[in-house]
Order: sequence, then C-alpha cells, then structure tokens
Amino acid sequence: MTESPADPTTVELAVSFDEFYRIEYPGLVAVATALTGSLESAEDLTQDTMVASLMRWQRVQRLERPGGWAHRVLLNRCTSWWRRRRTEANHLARLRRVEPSVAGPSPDSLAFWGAVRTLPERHRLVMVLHYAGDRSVAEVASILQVPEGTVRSDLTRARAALATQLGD
Amino acid sequence: MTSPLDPQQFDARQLDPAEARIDALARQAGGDLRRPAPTDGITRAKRAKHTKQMTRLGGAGIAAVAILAIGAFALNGGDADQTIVPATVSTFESDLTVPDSIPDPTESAPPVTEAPDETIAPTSTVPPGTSPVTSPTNAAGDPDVVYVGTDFSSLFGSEVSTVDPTTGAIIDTFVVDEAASDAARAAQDALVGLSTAPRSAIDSRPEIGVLDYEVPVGDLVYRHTVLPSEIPVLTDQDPDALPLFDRCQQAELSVEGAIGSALPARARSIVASPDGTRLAAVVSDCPVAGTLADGEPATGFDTSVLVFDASRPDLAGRAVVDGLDPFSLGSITFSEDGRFMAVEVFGAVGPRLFDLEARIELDLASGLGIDDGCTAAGTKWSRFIGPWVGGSSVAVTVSCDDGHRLVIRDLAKPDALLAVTLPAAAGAASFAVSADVDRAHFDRPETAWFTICDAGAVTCWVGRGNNPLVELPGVVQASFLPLGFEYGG
Repeated sequence: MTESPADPTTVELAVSFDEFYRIEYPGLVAVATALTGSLESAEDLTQDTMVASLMRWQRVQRLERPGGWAHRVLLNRCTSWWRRRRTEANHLARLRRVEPSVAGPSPDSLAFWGAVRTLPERHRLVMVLHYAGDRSVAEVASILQVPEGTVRSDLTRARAALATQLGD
Repeated sequence: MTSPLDPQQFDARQLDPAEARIDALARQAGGDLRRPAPTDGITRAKRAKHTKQMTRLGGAGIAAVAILAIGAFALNGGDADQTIVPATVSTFESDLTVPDSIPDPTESAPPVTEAPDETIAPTSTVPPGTSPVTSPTNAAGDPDVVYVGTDFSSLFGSEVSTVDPTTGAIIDTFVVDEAASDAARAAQDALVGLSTAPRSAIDSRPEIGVLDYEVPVGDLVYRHTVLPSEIPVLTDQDPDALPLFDRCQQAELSVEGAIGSALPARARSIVASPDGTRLAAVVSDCPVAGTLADGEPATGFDTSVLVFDASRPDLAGRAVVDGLDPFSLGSITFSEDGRFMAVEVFGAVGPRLFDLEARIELDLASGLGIDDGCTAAGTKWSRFIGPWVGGSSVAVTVSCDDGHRLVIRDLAKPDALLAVTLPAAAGAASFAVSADVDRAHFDRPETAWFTICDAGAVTCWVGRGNNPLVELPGVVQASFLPLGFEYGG
C-alpha cells in the first residue's frame, strides 16, 4: 500500500506507528520468547500483536502507555498459544522433526527462561515483563493491573525460587 | 523510556547475594532475548492490516444479513466481528450472531456530573453516548432497595444507606449492628451452592488439619481429602498428613455406591454441578513420583479439569481444560442445569466458559468489540457464585484502556445480552470498578437490575436494562444484598 505524502495525517500516523514498532518490538519479542520458549512463535506472536496495534492505531496511539497495551495483548496471545499448543501436541507428536538450528539466545539464557516458565503464573509474568520486556515495576503493575507492591513482592519471591532452583 | 534496570530505580546491592546473582543472570538473559525489529516488519504489518480490513468488510455484509434474519436488535452497530466464537469446532455459530451494543466511549460526550457531595445526593443521568432506551418489563419484579456504602468494606459499626433503585433517593441510613451484620452474612451464605452442588466437610481424620469432603449425588457419595488451605505452608502440616498427598498436593478421590469408577485415583479438588448432573475434577499431571512426606511439593506441572457424568462415574471423563498452571486456577462453577461450566483462570480475559453439551468453549468477549488488551473480572459476589447471575446467564466487568463495561449474557440464548458502559469519571481516573447484579429479580439480561461503581469517581450507578442510569454520587460500593459483613473482615 502506498501512502500519499500529500496527506499530513497519514504521514504523521505512519511515522508514529513506525517509531512505536521499532521501540516496542525488542521488548515484546523478548517477552514472547521467554514465555513460549520458541523463537519462531515469539516472532509470529509479536508481529500479530503489532498488526493488532496498527488495526486500532487511532485509539492505541492516544493511550498513555501504548506499549503497555501491546504487552497485555501479547500476554493474552501467549496464553492462547499455549492452549493451542496443548491441543496440537498430540496430533503433531508423530510428525515431529528436528528443526534446523538458528542463531538465537545462548543456551544459558534459554535454560534460565526455561526455569522461569516453571514458576507460578504471576511470578513468571513479572519476571518476564521486568527482565525480558525491560519494563519498570510501575509498568509491570499497570500491565498486570496489580499494585506495585505486589509486583515487587512477586519479583522477590520469584528470584528466591529461582535461586533455589538454579542453586548450583 | 526509563530503563527499569537503572540502578537508581532498582538497586541490586539491596538484594541478598543469592537474589543478586539471579538479578544479574536475569538482566543478562533478558538482554539476550531482545532483538531489533525486522527491517520488513512494518511493511508486513501494514500489508496484514490491509488484508484484515478487506476481510472484515466482507464479513460485515454476512453479519448484517444475519442480524436482519433474526431481527433481534436495533442498537448501536459497528464492529463486524459480532459472533460468540466457540474456541473449538462450532456447531451453532450462525445462531449466535448478536449486534454490538456497546457504544464506543471515545466517541461519547463526557457525562455531566457534579462534584461529589459530602452526602449521598441522588441524581438521575443518561449514560453518555446512548439515547435513553426503555427496557421491557422485568417479569421477575423489581428490588426494593440498593445498599450503598462510602467505604470499600462495610463491617460492624460502619455506616450503610439504603436507596430507592428507581430514583436514587435515600430511604434510610444506619450503623451496622449485630442484626444487620447477621443479615448480610446470611445473604452471602445463601449464594453458596447456587452454582455448585453442596458438599460437606468432615473433620474426622486423625491427621491434624486435614478435611474430607463429601459430595452426595443421588445414591452416590464422592469423597476427597484436602489440605486446609489452597496453598498450605507444608512444613507446618502434621507430618502424618503429608503422606496422604502426592507432590502435586493431590489426594485420593473415591466414590461410594458406584459399580465401577473411571475417576482419576487422585485429584486436587472436585466440584459437582448444582443439579447433580456433572462432576469436575481438577487433576495435575504430577511429574514426580512419591508423596509429600518430605514436604517438597512439585512446581510447574500441568493441571487439567476433567468432567464426568456425575451419575455414571464408571464412564470415562473428558478433559475440558488442560495445560493450566494450578496456581492460576480459580473457582469452577456451573449453570443451574449443569450445561455450562465457568473456570476462572488468572491471566485469561474473563472466566473461560464451556458448553458441556455442545462440547465447545465460548468466548464471551468475542463479538462485543472488546479487544485483546482488555481484562475481565467477576461481579461483587462472584467469589461465592462465580460469574452466574441466574439460569444460564453470566455477568462480568470488562476493563479496557478506553473504559469499563458491565456485560451480562445468557449463554443458552446468546442474543440475550446487556452491555453497559461505565460513565467516564469527570476529572478522575477510574479504578476499582465493581458491579453487582440483582439475582433475586433476574429474568433475562435485557431487563437485569445492576449497579456499577467507580472508586475513582467516588460514584455508583444503578440501572435496569438499557434504561437511563441513576447516579449515586459519594459512594464506592452498591449492592442488592445487605452490606455489613465480609468474610475475612
């Protein structure tokens, strides 16, 4: 689709979304990777979230934290992804094959996020949003719609659990 | 954007050494996952948007024909995505087409409200962006009063008022005494068992703190042992009690009076539908053998909800939900006739709803113009009764960045729908939005009596169907049940 540079509204809108895309993509894809453990699925889920943002861009861009909205959308999509994956797992088990390896996070990082995925859901989400998504405590609280104190205590408990789990 | 890892915001030196090590590891692992946006990503997003818009335009025509065919509504149109979409295979999708009756708050004029007074001053307002629509008569009658309070909790000694639900006029203001507190407690107790079959807790075991639950269904009695709290401190448990549980904290499940049993040997919890037709068992795929005798529970295991014919435990059950984190699983409740089941799951957009006869999952949010970024919660007393407000109808409050809504929907007749937008708070951010539905006079969603409160605006509203809302300024809670007692309070 070609956008007319003569239309200032279109140009401004496009630039704003482009900036949003470039700024938010790294954090979103990190959150999706941490939650799903799949680089490929994480990119798809992030791209789907970006399309959802663009579809509603006139409303999303007026939000105080468009990135927070996008993270909520992404978390919902990751939850749906897990549901679908569980359903599909049985059917795909016999068709499983070795995927070609692609450059990605280090094995240590993947192991760390694998451990995070064993935590209770809210602990998992605060760890992922804070460390992978690079979101502040206040932003995590806003995304999850819980008080900031809850996020802090969840972070403390999650780190303690991980310290035990990854002790050696 | 300020980085959350800025030392001024987050000082790792305040952490103990073990936590600090995890903090450093997490920073490194987090950074390792962040990748720059793909160069063609924006172009692909715009192309996908264009494709989706074209698809929606095509779908809108089909939806419009369906609405004309059923001739059900003439409310605010708009979004083409107007169907309750089963999450799995649809068997009745064409029967569930409903209009989007939620006005877009961004296109609505702000409500004309006066600053909250010290006293409760009743005024009547029309919700913004909607023209007054008179709802049909409520066949179940009308409530006499609405109970309102200026504090978030109304306990013994606090002040509560009753107001006329049709005018908002104050009828009485009183201090909660013992009688009022007892009445409030009795009203809440009466909700228990409306969405689940009654069960008895029997404290007869020799092990301290462990209870046996009995769920009688016809001639059968289901028995299950539970730890006394949802997430117990296992080291405080009676050592004799721990061997009763496996590492996923499941205990033996049995049934008395049945010829055979296909039930799982162990379960985390069980619940039967109020009509005794169905039994749900929460079961974890415990990855670690052995028992809890050493007090070490497993974490990160998958949990499922299995549903059985409660009268035929010899028949195999069906996994309706699986892949759950047990700590994100809330209550399981049923419609009166056991046909529908609601499962509260933290992180999901509202309760997950299942039609157990059609064997499909229903998406309450789909078709209502509610996008993925919204969250949903139950109503004021849903901790006792789940989302159910009568028969097969559910009620949830939906919070989106553009506003809050109360949605009431009959799952058996999905075109029976009421969606009310919370009036925007004048000069105040909405928070702690809560709602109540008058279950005692519930006939159908379109004629339901409801309250909706915004603590940010320090205002509640009471309404029936699409009738104009009656504003109750200066209060933060409003209920059709007496206020004056809260469990845990």
